[in-house]
Amino acid sequence: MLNLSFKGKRFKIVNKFYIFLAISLAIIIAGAAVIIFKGLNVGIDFSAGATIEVTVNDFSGFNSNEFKDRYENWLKGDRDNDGTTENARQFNVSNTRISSAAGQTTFEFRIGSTVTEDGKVQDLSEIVKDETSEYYNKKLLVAYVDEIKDEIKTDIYSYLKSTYQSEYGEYDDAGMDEVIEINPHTIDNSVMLYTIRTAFIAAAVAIAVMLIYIMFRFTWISGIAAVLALMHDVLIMIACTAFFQIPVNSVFIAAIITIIGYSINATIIIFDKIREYMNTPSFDETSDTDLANEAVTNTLTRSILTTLTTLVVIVLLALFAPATIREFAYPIIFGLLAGAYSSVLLSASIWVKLRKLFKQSGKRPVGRKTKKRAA
Amino acid sequence: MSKRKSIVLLVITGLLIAFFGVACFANFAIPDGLCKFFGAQPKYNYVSIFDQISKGIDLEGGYYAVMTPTVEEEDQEINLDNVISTLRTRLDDKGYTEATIARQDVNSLRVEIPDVDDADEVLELLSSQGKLEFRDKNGTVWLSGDHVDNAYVGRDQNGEYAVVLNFTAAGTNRWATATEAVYNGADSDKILYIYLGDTLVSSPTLQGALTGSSAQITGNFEYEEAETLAAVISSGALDIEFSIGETRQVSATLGEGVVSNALMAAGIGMLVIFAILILFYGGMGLAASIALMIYVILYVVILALFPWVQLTFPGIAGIILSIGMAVDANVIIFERIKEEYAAGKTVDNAIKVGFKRAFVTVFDSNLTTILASIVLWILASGSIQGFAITLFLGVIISMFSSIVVTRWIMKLLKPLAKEQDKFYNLVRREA
Repeated sequence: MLNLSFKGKRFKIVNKFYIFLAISLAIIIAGAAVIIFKGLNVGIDFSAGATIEVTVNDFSGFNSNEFKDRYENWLKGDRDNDGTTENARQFNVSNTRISSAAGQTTFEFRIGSTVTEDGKVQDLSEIVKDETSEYYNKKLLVAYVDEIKDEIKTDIYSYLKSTYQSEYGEYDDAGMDEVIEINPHTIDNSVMLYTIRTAFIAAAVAIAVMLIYIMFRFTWISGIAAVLALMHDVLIMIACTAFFQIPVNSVFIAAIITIIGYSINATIIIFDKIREYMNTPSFDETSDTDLANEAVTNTLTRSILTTLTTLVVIVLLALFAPATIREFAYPIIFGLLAGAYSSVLLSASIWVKLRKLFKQSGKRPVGRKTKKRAA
Repeated sequence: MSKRKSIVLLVITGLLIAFFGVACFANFAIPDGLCKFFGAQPKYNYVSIFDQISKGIDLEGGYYAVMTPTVEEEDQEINLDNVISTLRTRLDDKGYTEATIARQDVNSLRVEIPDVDDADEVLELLSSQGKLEFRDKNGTVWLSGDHVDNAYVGRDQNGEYAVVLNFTAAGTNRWATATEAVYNGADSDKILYIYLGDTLVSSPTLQGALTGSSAQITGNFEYEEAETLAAVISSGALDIEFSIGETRQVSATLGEGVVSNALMAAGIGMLVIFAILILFYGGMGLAASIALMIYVILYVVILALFPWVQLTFPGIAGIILSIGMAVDANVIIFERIKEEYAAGKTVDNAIKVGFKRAFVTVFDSNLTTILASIVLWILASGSIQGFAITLFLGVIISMFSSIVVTRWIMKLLKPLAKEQDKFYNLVRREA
């Protein structure tokens, strides 16, 4: 059996606060730079438009890049694959995503909400008011995408059948329906923006409630320190998401909320230790710095083991899961690491610095000693 | 507790865990003999409790649509509750009982339907305002959907599918007047034009004035079409017209993969956690591992029982997070026990004091998470709400598991170990 104990050691974490803070700031600033110069990989949910999802069963010899290029061009108007955009209707296609899972390759062709029709640019997110139009009262984009679904299906079937004869030569259309799946969907970003807005408001209120609770159970300085550590974790998460260009979508918002709910715990455990030492007479002469170092050191085993066990599950999830879940798991992994980093290396130091700032260093809870003696 | 009693209780606990573990996660066919014994139908398949948890379309696949009132009617005061109940009736009539309808925005709705094959059918079902009108050739409306009590799928004299309408008392009178007027009208073409919204569904030629409380709409329908039409007519018209803003069909195959993969990851993850806990905390770790199994079973059963739980992607994150917190609570308690023992207490005392002192820590850290999840539950929308519910339930059950169950299992294990300190991996602090 193993024993992971840091008893008797006292890591001088608070004394090296500025080094740890500098590392965090460097990551955050670098992340900000990436966002400014390269931008976040914003998922389709954020912008209005549509996607056409084509899922093909994997087989040897399938050239997914050729397939992707062919149908990007097809949507852009080049229906016969000869390099000219001869079709009257030309979609705005960008950022096609290819992902593989469970023996299938999925192509996500993304269409913007504007289309060039007979040389005229149209905004498809507008609702048609002309009663004579067959698209009356139905969003244009939905109608267009409905139409395109059947056309692209016919073309994909004949393309796959003629190009990969050994695989699909024998199939009729009903047979193709079994192995190829085509799912179009349209995206109205007002819905997404609403979800984000409520998520933000909810997260802000949740943080405020946690802050009040910590202020009530601990001290107001502990509350502020915990919330600062929490904000650090979220910023690091966003920075890492920018570095690795992980898509920012509704799932990412959920990941941030997840970390907000989780990361506060680690900090509370450390502040709980500080609170306990503050109430222990033998620590009366100890400086804030030493007390904080002691608290961090004595909760280190817990910090390591808990982070490790939670990481194990989420890393396994990332390993086993298809792309969609992986996009969700990565930000959580960043957040967990950031949370462990901030609670162990930053939170107690922030507490010490804030106490100094507000001239409370060395102060002990009022009335505590008399109570102890009476007991 | 005697050694024998503790062994008996442990074996019973083990059997119960095994039984409920199978009940929670295994799907299997029940042998015919057993079916007969319980008086059930033969070839009965048992569906695991986990599979009975209602799952969102991001996991199970399906279809969703966001419905917004058309621009012209945006300023009106809209009673969405009426709309929701009308749509609910339509979906239930079509058999989509697992569908959810939620307010997405001040005046838009989001409808999610797991397990849909035909998206067009659903679009029709939802977007049709459902204004049924019987008109004559001049466009005069004689009868409307308000006069229809209910509608269902039947067959016409040729055996084709048809929609049968049953009129209300007022409708029965109107029907007689209407057919009389259309059949005998001065310049009438004797044709009754049946419209649903702006679409002409059927235009039968009358053979005479009709009486009676029911009528048929024929039109060479497929069964599905007739069923949708009947559902739309039965539910009544929506107060306003809606347009479908966003639609998405999510493939079910991807969904299935997500759930089974996530389950496998969680299962392997649990085994690794057990190994880590036992490696560091010996007998205490073993007790915690048993408690964690009980926790998982309780959690799955409660998720299946709570009607407003719908498992989604973020919901799975909530579950993982609460597993993490259950382990965390155990680690905090065990660290405290080690600390107390190291400081010189006896094993029994260290355990007693450790649980008592660690309770405050566990309580404070878990309560902040519970508060946050309640706020999210109330204020957030859609999938974030699903996350909040699973997290809330998970944290409460995890507190119970780590504080009550772990301690109880430790009591059961106690008589089995000769050297308590070694069994629990406790060491004295060196002087």
